[in-house]
Formats: sequence, structure tokens, C-alpha cells
Amino acid sequence: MTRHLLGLTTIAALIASCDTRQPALGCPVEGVDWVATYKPVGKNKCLALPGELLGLQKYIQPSGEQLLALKPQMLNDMDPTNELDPEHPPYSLGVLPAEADAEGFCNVSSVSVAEKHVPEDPEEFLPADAVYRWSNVRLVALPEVPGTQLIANLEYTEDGCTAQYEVWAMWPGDLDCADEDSPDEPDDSLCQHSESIPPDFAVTCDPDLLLCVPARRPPSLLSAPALQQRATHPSNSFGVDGKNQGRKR
Amino acid sequence: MLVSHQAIRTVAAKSLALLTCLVGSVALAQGTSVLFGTILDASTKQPVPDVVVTARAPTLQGEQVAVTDEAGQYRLPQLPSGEYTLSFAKEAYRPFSRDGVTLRLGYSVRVNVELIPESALSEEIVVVGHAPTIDVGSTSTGRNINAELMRNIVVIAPGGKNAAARSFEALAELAPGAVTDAYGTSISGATSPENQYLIDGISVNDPSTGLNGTPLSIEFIEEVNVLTGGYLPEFGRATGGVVNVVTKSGSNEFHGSLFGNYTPGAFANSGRELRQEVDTISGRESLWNLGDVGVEVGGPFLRDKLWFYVGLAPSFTRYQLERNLNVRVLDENGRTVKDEDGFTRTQRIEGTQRHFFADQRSLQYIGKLTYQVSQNHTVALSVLGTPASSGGPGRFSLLPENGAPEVTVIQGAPEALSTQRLQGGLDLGLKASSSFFNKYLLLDATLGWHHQDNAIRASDGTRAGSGAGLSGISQVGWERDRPYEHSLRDFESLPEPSVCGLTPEEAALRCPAFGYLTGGPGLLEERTLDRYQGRLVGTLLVRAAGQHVLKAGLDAEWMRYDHLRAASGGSRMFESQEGDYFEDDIQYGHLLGPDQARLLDSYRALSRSRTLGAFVQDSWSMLDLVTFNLGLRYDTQWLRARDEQALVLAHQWSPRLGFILDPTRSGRSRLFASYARYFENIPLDLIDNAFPIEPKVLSRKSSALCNPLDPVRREACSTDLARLPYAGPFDSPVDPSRLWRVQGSSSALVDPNIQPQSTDEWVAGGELELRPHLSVGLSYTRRSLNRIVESMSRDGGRTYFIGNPGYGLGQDFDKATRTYDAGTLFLQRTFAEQWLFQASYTLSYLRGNYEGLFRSETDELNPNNNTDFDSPSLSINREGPLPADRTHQFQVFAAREIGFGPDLSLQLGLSYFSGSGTPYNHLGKDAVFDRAQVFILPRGSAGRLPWFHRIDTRLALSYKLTKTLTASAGVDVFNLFNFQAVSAYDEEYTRSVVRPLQNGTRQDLPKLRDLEDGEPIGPQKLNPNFGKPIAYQLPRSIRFGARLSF
Repeated sequence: MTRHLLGLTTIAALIASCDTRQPALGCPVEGVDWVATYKPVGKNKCLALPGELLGLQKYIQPSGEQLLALKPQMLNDMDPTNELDPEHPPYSLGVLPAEADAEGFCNVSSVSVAEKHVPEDPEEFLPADAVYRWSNVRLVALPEVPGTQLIANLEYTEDGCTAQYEVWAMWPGDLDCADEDSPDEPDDSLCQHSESIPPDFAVTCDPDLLLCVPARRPPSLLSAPALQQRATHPSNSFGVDGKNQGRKR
Repeated sequence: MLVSHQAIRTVAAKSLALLTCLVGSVALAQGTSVLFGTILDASTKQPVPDVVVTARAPTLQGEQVAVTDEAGQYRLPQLPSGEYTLSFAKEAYRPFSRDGVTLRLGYSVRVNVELIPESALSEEIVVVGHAPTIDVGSTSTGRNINAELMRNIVVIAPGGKNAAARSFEALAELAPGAVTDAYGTSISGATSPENQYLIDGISVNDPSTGLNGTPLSIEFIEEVNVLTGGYLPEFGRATGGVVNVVTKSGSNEFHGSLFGNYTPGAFANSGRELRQEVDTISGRESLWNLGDVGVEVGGPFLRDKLWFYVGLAPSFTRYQLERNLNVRVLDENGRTVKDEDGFTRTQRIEGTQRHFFADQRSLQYIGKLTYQVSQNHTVALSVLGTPASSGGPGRFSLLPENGAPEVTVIQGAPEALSTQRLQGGLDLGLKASSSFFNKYLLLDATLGWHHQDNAIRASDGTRAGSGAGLSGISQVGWERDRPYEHSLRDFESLPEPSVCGLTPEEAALRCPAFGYLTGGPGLLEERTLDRYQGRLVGTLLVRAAGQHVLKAGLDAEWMRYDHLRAASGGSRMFESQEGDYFEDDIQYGHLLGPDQARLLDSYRALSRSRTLGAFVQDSWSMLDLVTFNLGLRYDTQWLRARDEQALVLAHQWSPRLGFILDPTRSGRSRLFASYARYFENIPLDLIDNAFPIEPKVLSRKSSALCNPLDPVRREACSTDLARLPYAGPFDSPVDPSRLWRVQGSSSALVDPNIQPQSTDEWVAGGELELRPHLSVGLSYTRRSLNRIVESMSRDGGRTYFIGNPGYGLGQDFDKATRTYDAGTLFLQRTFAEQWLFQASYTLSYLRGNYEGLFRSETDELNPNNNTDFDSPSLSINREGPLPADRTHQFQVFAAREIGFGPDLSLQLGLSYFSGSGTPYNHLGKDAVFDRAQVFILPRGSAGRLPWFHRIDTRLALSYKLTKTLTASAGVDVFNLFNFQAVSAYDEEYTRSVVRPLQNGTRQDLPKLRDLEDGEPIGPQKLNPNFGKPIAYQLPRSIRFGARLSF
């Protein structure tokens, strides 16, 4: 009898124990105000664009399809009220998949070209023509980086000169790291100690943008993403040592 | 014992079939108490087998019989609580019976007896006197509130939650160490939604918040057992206490009563007036009246076979709200004047006083049928209902969470601030209890359905999203402060408008109306909540190295929460500082692309949860001396949003270990210790709010085109023409949308390694019966949290993830802590010889950084989704004494019945509660999470509230009209001496955005800076009301009651 009751309990426990995984992460996009640092690819003859603010927004269609908009600050600044070149929206739109691939990347496909063509304004130091051609846009979707970093290729044409970049972007993108005493100099410690950046992010102060940017190719983490580690060390995904080493950099 | 496998299979299959067929019903407890003992021959001291033991009690339907085994032991399980008479009979022995055996809910009481052989008539044999009352079968602590205590002592406060209905949940405060909290009673340091509320074995917790969802009147209740700790795995899914209610049942005699209670507002003291910053609109509430009437009756349909119990009790509550308009007093330089308390001096405007009512009406009903199929099989069916409605046209409603009027100060148009609230509560239960093999095997199957329909509608009765009447008008908050604020004259017609000055500027200075609300009622909702439960428990009595009571059970529940919400008029708006636009605060909708908004009239979320669990436990007693309680419970909870899995809290293994030693070996003492791990069953509010977060699209509407006060130009507010781009200096330049801002719509992420929320408990204590009916005891409880489940955000509240603070993805957050240590000393003299006395003293410490499922500083009740861990920066200074930390607590209950002749008697009851004060804090505003979220100094360092004392009395006179009919009338006085201790101070030190002073002291307060302008926080930025009382103890009130019982 006892065995029967115990058996019944065990069966119930076994039934209950199946399918206890948490839901898949999907392809989240956190925040709107991102920062992108542009790493030149090959030899660029043009004036290098170090990076800029990048606006990201996800839109879910009634069909379930997810769109991603990318809006660089340059295109906003060239035509802030959208009145100079109303034909061209200041953003690109691409299609975001429902789930990340095995490496934790959401590959954004069919990203449209974003461009602005406005009258020259010598005082603003802004180009009159700018064209953004994004490719290979990959959003990081790992538990540690849940839609807060992105890597992409960018072909950027400014007033007729075309340059190739690899883009490392992250969110939050509005964290100033200008030195308090000499405001043109970067103060990397501000990025390392920012409460707005997850402590396992590898970040650095970009000397041109004076904003905290990814220090490594996304996923820019101090230690390898735990997704791969979890199989062997489920409870020690974030090595304290790794964190200290990274911070001392 | 021989039990055929076939028989077990049949029984199990039948029970399962019953469970499956009857999903949608609920079950009620047949009785969980046990009488057991050993029968010895008084002359030889040897065990006597085959003695027929018969138990009878007024609460017991029929009688229960057991026969002693070869060791002279008997056991009568599944008994309801009550006053028992046990008789013992065997040939060759003198028949013996013992009455006055008090058996409380869930207790195992040992009654050992020595029988005198017929042959020993001449010998002088002394037989031990009375029956013991100590529960020697469990390690549980708490308080049992039986009929005597309820009849003679309990005075439910005529104020607060469900006061008129006299709901049972108020009884939880009678448990030693229990502390009244914002939404109920805190038990063992946990917040009230962490308690499990069971009525006849069915959980009646609100599936969304965990609060009690069935406020049943104590008139229909036989007994309440408040378990504060040390309970076995059959009780699970709670990290607080268990409030276990048994309703009345019919018996072979007809019994019933007609009753009525009335608390006139005129007899209630109005309480000490709160000195607060009075603005141009002021107000106060006062109780007008409350009361209930009812009838209940129980008896047999078929004697010894079928019994019924029915009851009905309507109740009502009315508060009066007074509203006054005031004008600020200015000095000769045209500046406002402060009074001696630092408040702005104002003067009432004659002829502007108005009065409103806040009303609630509710109905309580119960119906119960008990059918004894045979001596060994009983089926009971019950239905309980607690519908209530509050508010209506021209009236205000009461908040279901705390029973207070929804507003005290009517800071706007009454129709913008009043709502109608409906609550429908229904519980159905079905319970089958069977015993087999001479009661060696017991099976209990319980099915339950708990249902709630709650709605918040506009005061004209129109529903959320209907677009009709007031629900079709947007609510607007008028918050212009440049170049000058709005004044009362902009919204109300005054008898003499010049009292506010002659120009709008002067009016803004004299009669400012900042934050005035107009339009419709704002957020409205329709909620439907269900919980279906099924439980199958088998109990097996086995003898092997002592006596074993083996229990194994399956426990399943499904919860569903359908929540439709809408802002009246589609959106709720606030005026900008310059008054140039109105910005949405709520407007449900999605963006399909940049600036492509799809607006929703209403937003509906459907959340579900399924919990499957099982437990095994063994209560193993050896040699009448020691009992081991060993148990293990397992639960897994799956939570779903719409049709997608949202969160799984798997593998909740909760061990329970306990031992009880009875050095007297006769049931007159116990020494006990236990360890237990308790897991939380997460209420659905988290899923409703975070999977996904409510999708909102917000826009700014130009006040040049949109005027919400003008019925014609109001229409323009919802047109694209009126929308302004987000182009201010603080607006993001890179948001792809220029006209719309998005909030919510994405689901919170879940840490893949999330663990369920649990707490560990250690209990130790002892209890000794000093004299008949009198016992003393001492117990110690420690509870500490393991992981908790909370929402966390690294981006200032823009997106959230759900995890365990301090672990996994939440590793950069502080770990949640809450440690409760309590020692209780108690003395109990159970009701006998017409009197009763109980007293307890509890010394406790409650420390940590996590209060529980709500946050009392801001009245947030979002279980597992409060702001406590929303940002790592909020964790600074959070560790300290928690809001329910009452170091010292005394409780005394006394009752006396005095007879004046055979027909007239007087009942006197007295209860005394006292406790030292709870801590309070210096709170400031966070840049993102808003007011009262920053602990400027370490938690609790502002000091403590003063001690409180309260004496309640009951006095009732009963007169026997006939042999069976008794009339009684009485008066309950709540807070007899009208003690008026402060029960809350204003904790908001400043309303400016500040950063906490880590580990600071009061001396550091001058260093505090306003983060917005970088300036030190000067006196003008301090809240003048900080540290001043904002609430006092409920004042004295008197309740008159009358009853006719048969």
C-alpha cells in the first residue's frame, strides 16, 4: 500500500518535472538610444566616422512579423524636422527573426537603405548627402546580453565618399565619459563604474564620442557568454576573476 | 495488516474518477483532528485490547467508533474540532466515559485511560482526572480560534477591510506575534499575501494578488486555526502562515440564529485630527454607519444521514466625505504665510462645504450539504458567496484592499475621482471522505472552485472600453506651473470669485489648483479570476516500531486571470509644465512602424497558472514518548501569458522535519522542534503586468487645438492634427518615431536559471499542562529567505527581467534578505468552568531589505513585481528593520460567563493588544522610479512609532426564552479607552530627486543635494509634513448586536 502511494507520488513528480525550461528569449531589443562605434574595414580614404548615437525600435506586426528600425543621429541632424528631404525617412527598416541562432544572434534581414540629401549648410559641419547601407546586422540575444548589443557591417557614403565599417553597438548609449576636469579627454573609469551598464559588459570610453561603447566585438563581455558555459558550470556563469581582470584593463 | 492491491486500485481509481468528473467543485474539511491513546487495565497496568471507544460531540455528525488493538491503542481520525465525550466499553470492565475533551482543529490529542476491572470493585483505584488539551502530534505554532473565543472575546474592528461583513481574516491578528500590515495580517515576518487562506480545505486566495478572496463572515465559521509555523507538507504554497477555516455544518439537531449588528457613526469617536498641509481643497472622512443582519440554520434532512447548513447575511458600510475649499492667507508682501507647524496657512471659503457618501453593500451566503453514505463514507457539498458592490452615481466607493474610501481629499471633479466597484466571490466545494479497513486507511478527495468577478467602473456604471457615459471621457490632470498655476476659478464656480483675487496670477497664488483632475474616472477594469483545485490524500495507519500515520497526497490547481483594462476616453492625459500640450499617461496601443500607431480602446491580458504537487509525510510515534514528523512536498508551477509559457518555477522540493517529545507520556506536555522549507505560489499579477508589459503609445497634444474642458474641442485631442513631435531638449533625437513614444509591449525576460521563491524555518518550543485546562509554553521561530523572484531592470524601468536578485542574471543586484526571529511565551487556560484566559508575549526581530509581496512605503501591491529590486541603485540603505518589525507584543484574552438563575446569563469578554512601534524611514525621490523610493538613510533610522495599546470589550446578556430559544443582546466596544497612538508618520523627507547617503546618519542630512539642480536640499525642498502623523489608531467605536438562537 505504502509503495503504491509512494509510487503514485513519484509518478506525479515525474510528470511534473518535464518541460520545466523557461521560455526562449526570442529577439528582444532593449532601449532606444544606442551608441555605435564604427571600426573601419580595409583602407578608407574618407574622413573616418568614429561612431554616433543610433536609435533602435522594434515593431510587431499583426502577422507576428517583427521589424527593426535603425536611425543614425547623422540623418536626424541633417534634417531634424524631416522637412528638408521628406522623401527619405531617416531610418532603415529590417526584418527581425523570431528566435536567435545557436550562437545567440538574431540576424536582421532585408535592411533598407537610409539616406538624406539636403542643401549644404557650411556652419553645421554636416554632410549634404549621406547614405547608410547596413548588412549582416546581428542583434545579440543572450541571457546576459538580451538585445543590448549589436554587430553589423556598414557601407557609409558621405558626400560621395564611401567607407566600410564594422559596427559595434550597445545600449544604453547615452553614458557620457568625458573627464570632469578636462572635458575633451575620456575618463574610462566612468564607464567601468557606471551603474547603468551591467557589470559583465566589456566597455570602454570612446575618445571621439566621449561615450561608453563596447570594448570588444559583440557580444562584448568580460568572460565568455554563459550560454556555452552553462552545460558544465550552471551556477558559476560569471567568474568574479574574469570581472576583475576586465576592469583592470 | 493485509490490504489487497485490488481494493486499493479500486479505491484509487474511484477517487481519481470522482476528481476528474467533478472538476469545477470545491471541497470542505470533514475534520482533521485526531483523538488517540492507550487503554490500560487499572490494576495490572497492561494494555486492554478490543475496547470499544465511542466519540460523540455536538459538532460531530453521528458518532465515531474505534476498537483498541492488541497494544491497547485506539485512534479516531478525521474528527471535526469540538467538545467530545469519549466512552470506553468492554466486557468485564466498568464502563467509563470522559466528557469535556477539547479537540481543536488539526490537533492530535492523546487521551489515555485506565479501565477498572469488574473484579476489582473492592480495590481502591485512582483514575487520572481530566483529558489533556495539548496537541502532541504536531510541531505547529499559532492560535486556534474556536467558537468560545469568537463568541465571547473577538471584536472585529469596525473599520478597515470587510469590517461590516466581519470577515474571518481579521482573526489572524489573534495569533501570537501576528502584525497587522497594509493588506491584512503579517505572520512570521511575511507579508499578508504570502499567507494561505483555506476555507474547508480550499484555497480562497485572490489568484491575482494572494490576498484573501472570500471575506466570509465569522457567523458561518465553526473554527479558525491560524498556523504561524511548523506545519506539515499537507500545507504548502505559502511562505507566510496558514489561516485554516472550518465552516459550520448541520447536525442531528436543528440549530440556528437570527442576528444583527450595528455601529452608528455618531457613537464613533472621530479620531484625532490630522495636521497636514491643507491646500485649497481639503477634506476628511468619517464613518456614517456600518452593520450586518443575518440568519443561519442547520439541521438534519434525514437523521444520521443527510444534514444541511445555510446562512445569509447582508451588510453595509457608509462613510461621509466632507470637502472644503480654502484660500491661502498672504502677508502684506503677497507671500504665503507658514503656521507654527511649517504648513501654509489657509482660510476656509464660506459656502463651499460639500458632503458626499462612500458606500458599500455586500451579501454573504453559505449553503452546505453533508451526506453520510455509510459509517465510513461521507460526502459534503458547499457553496459560499460574498458579492459586494460599492459606489454608484454621485457616490464614492470603498477600496477592497483596505476598506477605506477611495479618496479622502476630492482634488478635482467628483466624477473624475469616483468609481463603482463590484466584487463577486463564489466558492464551490465537494469533499469525499472515506475510511477503510477499520479506519486504517483513509481517503479524502477535495475539489474546489474559487471564482471572483471584480470590476472598477465609472460612477455612472459604464464599463471599461465601452466608450459610453463617463467611461468615454478622458481624465486630465492639470499640472501647468508656468507662468502660473491654474486656480480653482478655472474649474469651479465660487460663491464669491473675488475671494481668490482679481487676476488669474493672483488667483494662482491664493487658490492654486495644481494637479486638479477633470473628465472621466481614468483607469477602469473588468477582472475575472478562477482557481480550480483538486486534492487527493490517502492516510494509512501502520504499526512498525511504533505507530505511523503515513499520508500521501496529490495536489493540483489551475488559476486563470482575465483582465481587461481601459482608460476612460481612451487615454489619460497630463498637462505640460508650460500648459502648451497634454501628454498621454495611458493610451493602450502598438506601433506597427515608425509613427504608425494602432490605438486600442482597451487592453486585455489573459494569464494562467498550473501547479502540480505531491507530498508524503509520516508521523511516527514511539512508546508514547516521541513523535517524528517527516515529510517532503514537491510542487512545480507553470505560468502562462495568453497561450505562451511565461515562467516556470520548477522543482520546489520542500522538506519538513519535526519531532515532538512528551516527557509525561500522557499527552500533557510537548517539547518540539522542526525545520521546514516553504515555497511561494506566485500570484498571477506578475504575468498580467509583465508578460507583456502593458503596451502603450503616448503622444503630446497641442493645447492650441485640444481643450479637454470644452466638449467640442475635446474631440480634437484624439486627432493626429493636434499631435506635436517629441522635439524638446530632453527628447531622444534618434527615436525613429517623432510623434509617438512607446512604453511596454515587450515581455519581461526570464533568467533561464531562475529558482522559485522560498523561505526556511526553524521552530523549537515546549508546552506543559500545569493544571487541568491550564498550559504554559514557550516557542522560538526563525525564518530566513532563500532566493526571491522579483522584477529587475538595468535600464531605468524601460525593460525588465524576472530572476533572483543576487543570482544569475540578477547577480549585480543585492540578494534579498528577510530574517525573522521571534520568541513567544504563552499561557492558555481553555474555556472551562465558565471562564477562559489566554496571554502571550512575543519578542521579535524582523530585518532585511525585502518586505515581501507588497511595498508599504508606496502602497505597491505587485507580488514579485514591486520596485524594491528594479534597479541596483535602489538597493542602497535598504537593509534594516522592516515595516512589520514590532519588537514587543502582548496579547491578553479573558472571558467570563456569569449565570443569574437558570435562564439569564451574562458574558463578559476582554482583549488587550499592545505592541512597540514599527520603524519608519527618510525617503526621497528617485529620478526614474519616483517618489518615496530612495532610502536617504539606512532603513529604519528615522526612528520608531510609539507603542500602541488597545482594549476591546464584549458584554452580552443572554436570556433563555424557552428550552431551545435564547435571546441575547450585547455591546462590543472597540478601543474602549480610545487610545490614539500614531500608526503612521509621513516618511517622505523630500520630494526632490536625491541620491541616498550610503550608511549616513541624521547628521549627514544637510549634505543631501537635489540631483536636478545640484543645489543642497534646503528647508524649502523638505516636506514640511515629514515625521508628522498621517494616521492614528482606529478610534473608539461601539457596535450593538442582538441575536435570537435556537
